[in-house]
Amino acid sequence: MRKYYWILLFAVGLFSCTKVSKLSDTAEIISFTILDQTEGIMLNKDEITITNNVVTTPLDYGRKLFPLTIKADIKFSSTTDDVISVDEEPLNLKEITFKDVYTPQTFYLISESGVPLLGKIILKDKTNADITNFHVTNYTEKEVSVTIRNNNIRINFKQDFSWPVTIEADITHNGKIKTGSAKSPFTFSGPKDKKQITLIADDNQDERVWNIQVVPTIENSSFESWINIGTSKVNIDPTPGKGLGWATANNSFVQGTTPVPYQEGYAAQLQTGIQNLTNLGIGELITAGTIFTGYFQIKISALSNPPLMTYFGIPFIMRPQSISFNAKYVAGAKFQQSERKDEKSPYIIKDIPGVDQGRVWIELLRWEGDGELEYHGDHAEPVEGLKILGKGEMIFDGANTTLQNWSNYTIPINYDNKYKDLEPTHISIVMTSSRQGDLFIGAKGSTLTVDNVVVNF
Amino acid sequence: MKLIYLLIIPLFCTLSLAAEERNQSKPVKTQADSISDQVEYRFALGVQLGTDIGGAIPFPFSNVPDVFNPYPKLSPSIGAKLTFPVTKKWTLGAEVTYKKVAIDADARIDNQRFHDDKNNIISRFCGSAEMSMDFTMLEIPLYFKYTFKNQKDRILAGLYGAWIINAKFRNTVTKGYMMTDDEVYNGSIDPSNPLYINFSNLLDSWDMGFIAGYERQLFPRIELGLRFSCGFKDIFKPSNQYFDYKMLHMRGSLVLSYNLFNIKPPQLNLFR
Repeated sequence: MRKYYWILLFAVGLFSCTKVSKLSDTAEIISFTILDQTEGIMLNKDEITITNNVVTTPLDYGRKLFPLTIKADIKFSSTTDDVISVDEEPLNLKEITFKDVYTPQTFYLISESGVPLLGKIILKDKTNADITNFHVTNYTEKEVSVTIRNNNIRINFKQDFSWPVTIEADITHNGKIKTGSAKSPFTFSGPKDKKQITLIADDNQDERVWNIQVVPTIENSSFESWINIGTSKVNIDPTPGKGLGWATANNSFVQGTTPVPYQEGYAAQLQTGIQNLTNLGIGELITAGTIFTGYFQIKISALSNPPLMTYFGIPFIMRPQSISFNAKYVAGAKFQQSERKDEKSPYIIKDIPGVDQGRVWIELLRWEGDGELEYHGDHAEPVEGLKILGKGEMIFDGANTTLQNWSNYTIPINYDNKYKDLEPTHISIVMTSSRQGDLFIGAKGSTLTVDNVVVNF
Repeated sequence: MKLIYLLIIPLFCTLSLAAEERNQSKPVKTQADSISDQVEYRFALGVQLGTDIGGAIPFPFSNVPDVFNPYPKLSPSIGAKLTFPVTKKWTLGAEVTYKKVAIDADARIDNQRFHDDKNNIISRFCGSAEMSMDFTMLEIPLYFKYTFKNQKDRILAGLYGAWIINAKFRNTVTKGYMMTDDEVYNGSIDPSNPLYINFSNLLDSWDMGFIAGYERQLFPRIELGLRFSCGFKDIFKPSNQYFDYKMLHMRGSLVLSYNLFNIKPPQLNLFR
């Protein structure tokens, strides 16, 4: 019998000499040699180090002469099965271009077993023209905080304020301040206003430019400012401007987000309803109440595709750790979905099993594409040039009755390790009374009430 | 490609034997030969026990991962067979067998595309995965059997139909990473939090394919057989095409049969 068993096993022909459990989980950069580079910038090729798949090349001179292109010979261990790009950009490790000294080249080494391991090639800046401390003197630490990252100094206001804003600071540095650099006090006219200080290194006269910006908290995050209260056109105040603050998906047909009294002010009440568009031939749609950072642009042609009318994300350049907010959630009684037989048929509402869920999600975005960011959410088509640096989410399960009382919640933001050297350009915070509202799934009456959104650093 | 030879071996054997038969039949038959060709027409009814090794295999075979380790699980099969001689050398056979075909496997998968049309998810996976397949079925083969001169060795070839009574197909992705359909990296699999995928509800309830094999008569009533069978159709329901390739039932069987009765109803000889 045993003989026949092995004959059959052989006949099935699926033997593999290599056992999956024996495949290595490691992949390593063995060596890195610079063969050629663009002129002007001086790299210390004798001091290149490789530690934990990070190749560090010291930069001696030439910060203002970037971009830098190097031709390199990089070798990997025999247990490295593949090397792939971290994003949609094609990977070319034979010719690497650095757009500045701060942004590394990142990629994944794939081990034999398929485990991806992050690899990086970084330039190590020489510490000869640094701002080592930036102390704001005309605001307290409760009012502002300062972060220094790469060559950026960010002054983060923890509470609402009005533009222009003046910042006085004591600055500690090495090297000399170049003539023509900005000086304290700095007056910032808006969030895009950037002051620059150029430091000249004492040892080799290399120059380093430091950028100083004021980062406002997201305005109206306590949801106190609304427009057209008491009318059918009620909406959140988009302060400081369209696409720069909070927005709702309220339109001529549905007002799913309204102010309700809370703590001597207002909270935002997001409520799922049924949008009757039978007259337009669309039918009846389950419509979630939503509030988000970004703006809403109604398009009649997109009434049956609400995500196309919501533009998520407002300018934001910090890397917060979490967001906190007050909230309560009550699910509607009847869980339903708008369905249609085909694209020409109107939507009809059908009961489906389950209980509605609310959702709050946050994404830190980096927009590297041309023009303005157009992002319709994490369920929409991926946007070329958009990187999701970090994200967090909380689901409010309607079956959980403890969520029906006000409570304070914190959503941690998990950052993607491969982008840990990149800075965000936008933040998207979205709150909705029905998690699957974009698929017209929800329960009429599902209500998520939110207030006092705080971005924590 | 590495399994192609499995298909060629039985075909080659069949062709060789057919050629042998043809060469033998070339001389003009004498009356004595003609009498000796006549057989004592008997239905034979038997029971059989066996076991199977196999599972579902990607087709085309180029989709079988380079690193693929099967761990077959042996289960007994039980059935009945009916044979009817057509000539002295050729026999028509039919069987009904209740069997369980189960296999565990692990594999290093490279860039496997996964398309969940219903949920509009298209993704690709690279890494290590463990699979577990388990099919309980009622198999009904129908075949022709050729008996060699020694009256002990036989080969057979034919078709089978199968009702899959119960099917399980589970995958556990332990290491690796996901990609978008454009092959852009889209996150890693945390080994401490493996990804479990259960395809069991998506498997079809029937199968059909070809069967070929070899038998040897050990004792007058007892035969030992080796079979190879391969399905023609995907194991998934037609509305659930998740992969870019089909997965076909493919198995080898070891069968021990015992002939219970020989029934002799000459009036039923349709071939006389």
